[in-house]
Amino acid sequence: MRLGIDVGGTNTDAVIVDDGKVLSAIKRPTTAEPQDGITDAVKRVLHSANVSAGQIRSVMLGTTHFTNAFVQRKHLSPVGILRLCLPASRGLSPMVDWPEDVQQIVHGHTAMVRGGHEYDGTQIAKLDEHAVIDAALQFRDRGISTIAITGIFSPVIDEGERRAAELIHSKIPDARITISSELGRIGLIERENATIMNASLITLAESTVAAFKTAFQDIGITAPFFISQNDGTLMEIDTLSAFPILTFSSGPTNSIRGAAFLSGLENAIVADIGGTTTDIGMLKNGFPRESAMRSDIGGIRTNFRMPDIFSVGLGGGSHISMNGGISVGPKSVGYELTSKAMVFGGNVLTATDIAVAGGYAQVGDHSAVSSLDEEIVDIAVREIHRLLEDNVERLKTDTALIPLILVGGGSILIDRPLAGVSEVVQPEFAEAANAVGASIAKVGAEIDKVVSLPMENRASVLEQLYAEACSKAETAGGVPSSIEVADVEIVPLPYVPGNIVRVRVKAVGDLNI
Amino acid sequence: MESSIQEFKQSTNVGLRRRQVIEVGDLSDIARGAAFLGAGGGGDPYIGYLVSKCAILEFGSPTIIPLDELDDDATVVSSAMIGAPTVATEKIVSGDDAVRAVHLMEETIGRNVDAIISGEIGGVNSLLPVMTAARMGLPVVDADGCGRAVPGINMTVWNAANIPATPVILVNEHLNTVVIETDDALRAEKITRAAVTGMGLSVMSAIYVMNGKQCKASSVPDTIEIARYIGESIRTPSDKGPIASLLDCLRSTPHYSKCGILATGKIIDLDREITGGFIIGKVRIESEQGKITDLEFQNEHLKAESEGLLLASVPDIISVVDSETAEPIPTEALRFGQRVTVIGASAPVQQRSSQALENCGSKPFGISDEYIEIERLNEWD
Repeated sequence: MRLGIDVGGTNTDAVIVDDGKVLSAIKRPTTAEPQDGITDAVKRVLHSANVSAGQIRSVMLGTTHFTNAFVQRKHLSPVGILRLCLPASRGLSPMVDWPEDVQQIVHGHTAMVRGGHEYDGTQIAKLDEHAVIDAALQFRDRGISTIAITGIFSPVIDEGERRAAELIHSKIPDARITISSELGRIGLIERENATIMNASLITLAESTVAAFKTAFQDIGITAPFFISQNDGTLMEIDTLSAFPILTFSSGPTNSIRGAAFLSGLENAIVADIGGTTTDIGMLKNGFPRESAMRSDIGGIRTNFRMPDIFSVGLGGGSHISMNGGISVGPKSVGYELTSKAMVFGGNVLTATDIAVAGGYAQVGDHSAVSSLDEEIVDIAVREIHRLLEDNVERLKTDTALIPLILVGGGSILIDRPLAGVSEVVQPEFAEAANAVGASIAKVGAEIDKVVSLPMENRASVLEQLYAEACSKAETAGGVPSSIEVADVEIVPLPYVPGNIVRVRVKAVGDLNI
Repeated sequence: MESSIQEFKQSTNVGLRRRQVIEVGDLSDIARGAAFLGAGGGGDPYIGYLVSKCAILEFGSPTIIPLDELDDDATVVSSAMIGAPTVATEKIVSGDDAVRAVHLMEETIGRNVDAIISGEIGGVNSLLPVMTAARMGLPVVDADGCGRAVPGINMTVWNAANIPATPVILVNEHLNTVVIETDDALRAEKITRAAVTGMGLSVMSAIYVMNGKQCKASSVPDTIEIARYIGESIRTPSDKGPIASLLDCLRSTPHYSKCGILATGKIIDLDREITGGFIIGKVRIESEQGKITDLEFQNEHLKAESEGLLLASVPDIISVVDSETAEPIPTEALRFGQRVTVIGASAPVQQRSSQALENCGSKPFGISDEYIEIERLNEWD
């Protein structure tokens, strides 16, 4: 039996899933100390499913706690920044494009030393170990113990970063070190930004992990405990202490994955209709399609794996306006829906009122909207469907019909068939899709390298990279027989002869529990 | 070209203005405009933005000289990154390499350099010269050698004007140097590519050294300011929206005034592969009405065609932008399903001379259609 939890900005959801079926789902308010809301929701969901704490075999939790901490600049630690790069990259200091407020909190001290690699793994310069030790002493003198190390082309070869971490540990035994190769992708500045962001959150992550563990102990749950990452895969709770940044944007990812599980579909569009907005994403082979655009988090550019989600102003609380034609949203009564919508005794005409007046949604007091003009209701119903239709269409990659999965409380707005959509699926427990998504997450691993890919042994080079990604997924806790390559991206490097390409391979598998 | 600046001032409220120095606040707009003028290639200007920002914060703003104010006997040199832009996003220029290249050029020709100029305003090489100029305390000329991005050093308007590309000075992060001397720009291009591979795939160069008189007679004027203005028009669009705002801006410039939308729709097919070191590919866009438009690219977009009709070809600028935001999308970042608008714009007159077309027109790119100006193809006149 699995326990899935999603700690969002507003609500904490908990579900119990057994043998591919959701037994119970609970929604509770999120609390200032997230473990309080978690304890509350977990106790209730256990009770409602009539399950004892001892029956839970694993716990999966998604949280926006670290994203919020970073965006709100709360609980961040100063970071010692070490770059292995010289003589290259001297002209570009770390954090140069960070917003000043967060720069002042997070920037502890910077050192650039000789080191780093070329795209093919040869050294740019031999690692200057004396300079690394000097940097460590500088960090120590300033009282800095959270450290971010970034080496040029470390995703290709990480030996420089690992050696530098060793040297720093020898001078600062309790140092918390993040090395950039663990976070992945090519693009020095974006990777370095992510490494520094991660380091700044580590102190908070350690105390949060401790609080979560205590909370589960108090409830009596002793099962292994995992945290969901932004790509829809899991990490162990102790990994969170080292990589809090990997939780960024895991909410929408879980929502899409949960929709997949609840509907049994692998390829579909998922629309999560809330009170104010609808988040639309694409489910591709069971995982959310990733954004091609670079992502800015809290004003800082990273090249982080983020689901390709966009939001439109359509929700249960969307205002219906009749000034010069009937329009829907983007203004909304939001969380005040249950007091301001007409069917709930209010005086604002909302999308929910239209759905009730249209005769297909059963919430609130139908008589409050019975006097609405039939023609106006019909136009508004069509407008609601058109809005969703248009935005679903924006996400599609081809003209073929594709299923649409509706989740979230606002899915009652939709009743009619939609153009471009083969079927509209509204699964049971759709309101807790995010917690369900957390509960079913897989383990995964990714590699990102620049390699020479000559035509004559292209297949064998790729085979080797696939094997590497799969073995990394096994290390992350995957059942070997279940691991498969989920995504491959090969991008040629322009302006260079010799078929040099950048290859990204992602492997996923079932969790070994 | 003095008059062109005056005209912009009258034709727009914000528009183009003459400025004394390049400030940090100008850089992100220049980068965005340079991405548009890159026509899909030229490398992500973001790195150029970051290193020029760092250089200005450390060394101060470089002055910017309008092309027509350059002394006839001034010595001007282009400072440019040559190699793989993807490698340059990881192994970022040190700055010392760029400065060393200019100093070595001075030693080679026995004269001091008076000003730095951009070799190509499209892509990363728009702002790297600003970094070099700031570090050296030299002015940067408001002009460039292409008015767009091109894949070879022989494809500049300077080569078309018979200004020698050589000596080509290449310097990598170790300050290892290569000096290339040849009498032919195409041969210089071939030797350079080979040398760059051995030097670590991303090097800084000093190239196309010339005097002020040559520079004034041949360069594409005002392009740094125009790039900044294009960037500004995308970032802070008028009420008409980002695409219309971008087009209004282009129309107010001397070089890119013949412009318009070639296609709007969704990417429904994308084929990208490497051949001989270039990203060669095709992208197909379908409009809501079902109209199909095909683009061919070799790093930069070369040709736009719809239902058998040619819409535009190199050296005219074909740039793919996000339909909502008008943010330019480089060819590496094109994806299935993107909602895009294809903007076409005239190349500067300097790129349309018969000699320039020999180097950077249909033939060198293997396009069978003969070059016809974009405004004639689309009847924009």
